[in-house]
Amino acid sequence: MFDLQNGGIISIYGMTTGPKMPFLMSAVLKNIEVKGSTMGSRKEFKDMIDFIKSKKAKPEVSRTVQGLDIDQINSLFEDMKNGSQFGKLVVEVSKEGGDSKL
Amino acid sequence: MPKSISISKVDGKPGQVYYPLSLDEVPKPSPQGSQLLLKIHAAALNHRDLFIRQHLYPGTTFGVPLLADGCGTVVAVGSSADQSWKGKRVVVNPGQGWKDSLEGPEDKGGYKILGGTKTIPIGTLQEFMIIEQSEVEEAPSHLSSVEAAAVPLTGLTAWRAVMVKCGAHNLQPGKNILVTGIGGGVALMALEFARTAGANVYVSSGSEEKIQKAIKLGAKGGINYKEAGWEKKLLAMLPDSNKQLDAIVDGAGSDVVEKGAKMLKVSRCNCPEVHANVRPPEWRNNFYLRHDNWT
Repeated sequence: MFDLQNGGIISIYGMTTGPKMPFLMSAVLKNIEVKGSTMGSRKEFKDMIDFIKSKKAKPEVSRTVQGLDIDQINSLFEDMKNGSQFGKLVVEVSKEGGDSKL
Repeated sequence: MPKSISISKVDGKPGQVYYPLSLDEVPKPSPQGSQLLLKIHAAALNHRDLFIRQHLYPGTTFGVPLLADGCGTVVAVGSSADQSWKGKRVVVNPGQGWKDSLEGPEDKGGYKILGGTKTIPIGTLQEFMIIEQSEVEEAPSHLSSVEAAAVPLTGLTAWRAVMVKCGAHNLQPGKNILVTGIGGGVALMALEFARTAGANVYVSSGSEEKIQKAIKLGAKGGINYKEAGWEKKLLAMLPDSNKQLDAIVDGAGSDVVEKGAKMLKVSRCNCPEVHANVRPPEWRNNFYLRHDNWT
């Protein structure tokens, strides 16, 4: 009797511009669904890693610094403050295959 | 002694203070029971870590290793842990208290994210880390340790926002997804997931340079939201076979619903009685239902 096609979806994982936003009548009439979204479950973490393995997906790394060096790590925080990064800011704590003794 | 980085206390109000990093020497850790000992290769930052240094994040505390994202090799295992973990390179689940419910965390204490808070006193910015074996996955072999460490928190957030919330039917070939604010960690992972799932991904940014980088990563196109009338420009970019968006993945809020209502697909609703029933008397002239009165 009803032919209700799903409307478009707006999936929102944050509100960096402010903690409120308007919802409009025009969106009601288009059957738009706004969905809040956070981090995910342990199961979703596994699903995500499995997907990355099967599709050979890659994250984007913006900049890497070496070692537990406070000045270097502070410079990564500066990138974040300035919003100048494109992708992740990573600290390489120890190279793979290095000395693993305590 | 192994080293670890946390924040140390200085005076100042939340939002004005900026806690300095502290290089701590920590006791030699030893895995108990089903725990693993990881030698950390790489750890990655997220926005929450900046908020922690500004004391704007719930549970901010001193002396707890910072950061939620990490990749390391298992160098020792507890007596009841699966011995086969030894020598494997793993990534750490960035939060605890949420097993498998689609709706949200089951734990009454809420979801606890690793790094720099008193709610769960472990973090990845250290040389060695103790973690339960149930909280790790083997790292993808095609990724370096730096890349693997870049995945967990933003990857998990993008996974849920894209793959769980947008739904598989909106991610098939021919579907159009807009990822706003490209350049952020979650947005870039959202682009990667939606693209590899098969959808056409479009991006927005205030920076032309970031848009061009995203196109190199596989976005079909992008628009600068600082330009007036960007919605029309975006709709014009969409393929002839599908001239509307199927979903928007957004981390900004603001006017995304207003813009989205102009760009998202129209649902076909052959159910006028539904509208008639919810329409208050003053709507009889259809004033509120005329498109030109909404904008």
